Amino acid sequence: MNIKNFAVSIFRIAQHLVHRFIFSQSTPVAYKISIIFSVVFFFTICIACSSEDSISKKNSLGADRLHGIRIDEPLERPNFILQDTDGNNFDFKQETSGKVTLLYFGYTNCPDICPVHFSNIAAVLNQSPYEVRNGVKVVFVSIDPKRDSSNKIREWLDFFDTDFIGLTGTEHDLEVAQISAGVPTAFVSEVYENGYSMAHAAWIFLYAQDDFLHLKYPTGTRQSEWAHDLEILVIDN
Amino acid sequence: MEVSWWCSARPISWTWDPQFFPGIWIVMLFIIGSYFFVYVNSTKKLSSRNEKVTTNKEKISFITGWILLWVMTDWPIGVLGSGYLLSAHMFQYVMYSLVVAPLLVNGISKSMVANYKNQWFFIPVRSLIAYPFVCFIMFNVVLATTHIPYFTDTLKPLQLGQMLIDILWISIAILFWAAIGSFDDQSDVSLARAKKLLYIIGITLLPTIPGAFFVFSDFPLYTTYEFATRVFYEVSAREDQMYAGLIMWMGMTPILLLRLAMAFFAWSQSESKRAGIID
Repeated sequence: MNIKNFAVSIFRIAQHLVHRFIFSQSTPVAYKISIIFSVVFFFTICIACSSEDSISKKNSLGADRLHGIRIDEPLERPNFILQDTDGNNFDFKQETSGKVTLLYFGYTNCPDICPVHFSNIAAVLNQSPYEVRNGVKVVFVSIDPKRDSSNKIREWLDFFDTDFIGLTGTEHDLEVAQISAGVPTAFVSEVYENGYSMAHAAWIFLYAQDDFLHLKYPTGTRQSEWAHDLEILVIDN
Repeated sequence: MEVSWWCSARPISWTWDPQFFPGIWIVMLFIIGSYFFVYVNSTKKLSSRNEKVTTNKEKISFITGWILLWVMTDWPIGVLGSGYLLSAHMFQYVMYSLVVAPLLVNGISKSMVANYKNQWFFIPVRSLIAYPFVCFIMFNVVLATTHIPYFTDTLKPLQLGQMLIDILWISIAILFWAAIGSFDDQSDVSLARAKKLLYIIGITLLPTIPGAFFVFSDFPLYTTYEFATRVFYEVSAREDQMYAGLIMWMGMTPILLLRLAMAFFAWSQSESKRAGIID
């Protein structure tokens, strides 16, 4: 049987079913409605499943089966010194060397991106195997020194995870840190009656054990994607 | 005050400032207006026969259902459910399906329906509720499909999408509860009551499936709620999802057990009466 005959047979069967169940006088209206309803929902499910599949394929093929966006020319772990939330100097390169490190520049008054990123990472690490939890350092650099005191940063990070590292410094030191990490310098974007908002890099940078930046994660990285990538990067490497 | 047609998921941080949704107001006023219109028309028709169109109990039931429907759809629960907390979304669903819909159905008297039963818009409804099994299937199909992550994540950011979900939920729930009444029209009363019990038991079982997905999933299932700004920092998207699953399990069960107990006692009482134990 060739494809054309097969298609014609399928069409005839469908035509028969439609006549038998939808247009037949003997089929109760309730059944007709429910058949149409079920068919519409069946196709909705089919479309839903196929679309989800195509999204996941696209993502997993993105960068050697990792979900982060690959940096074609990996950058070396940046060298900057800021103050941690205890007021001690924190040499980023030295303190995090050899560890998978997530570096993020943000501010605690951020209404959306920063808390969502940190909430998701905290949730992932919280349920990851011990090796992953122990093998990842999360560093938050506040780019809003006017409002973000060390205490405020600590308090904000503790909402998510007490092991997260918070850093701050003078405006000049923060600018140096951002330039050395290769992110655009943050600036005040909008001034309101009761404050202001900042424009800042929304990526999370991932430095691997080899001390190079290989991947960056945009807003919208899902928890399942974080869990998948961190497990590969920490345990498999 | 912000004004939008209907609640939807938006990439802005949560605020406790009230919001106004004209679409919700129009639909709610349309519902109560229609009830009032039908009531007045039916009263006119029945005035010659000195019959009451609705009892006070029915009126209270409908108005309570209507108020709860508005509370569940509008700010703040509607906004929280549409884009911030999956637990609020689930609370909405449970309330629509198991509290609001039966209250609305109980509030519509037979004499109100009688005047419209041959109208073109009522014929499909009438033929559907004559088949409780079909309504049961439709109720569960809607439950399953509206909780598919792709479906939810696609429709929630759209105002019309969220409106469609709300209207679909409440309409199907009304059909489902209205269909229970059709058991009473059957000639074998005992068999009808037994079927009614099975019908109610049936819907306690199926919602446990998506509930289990919510509780036991390692990660948030819906991007809408995963990337929503946190209403409470202490509650992560994963925890919120777990609470949603628990609402589905715990919230649905007591309400359904109550309905089940009511149906069971009505059944046993009628059986006792028939056996002559109670006069």
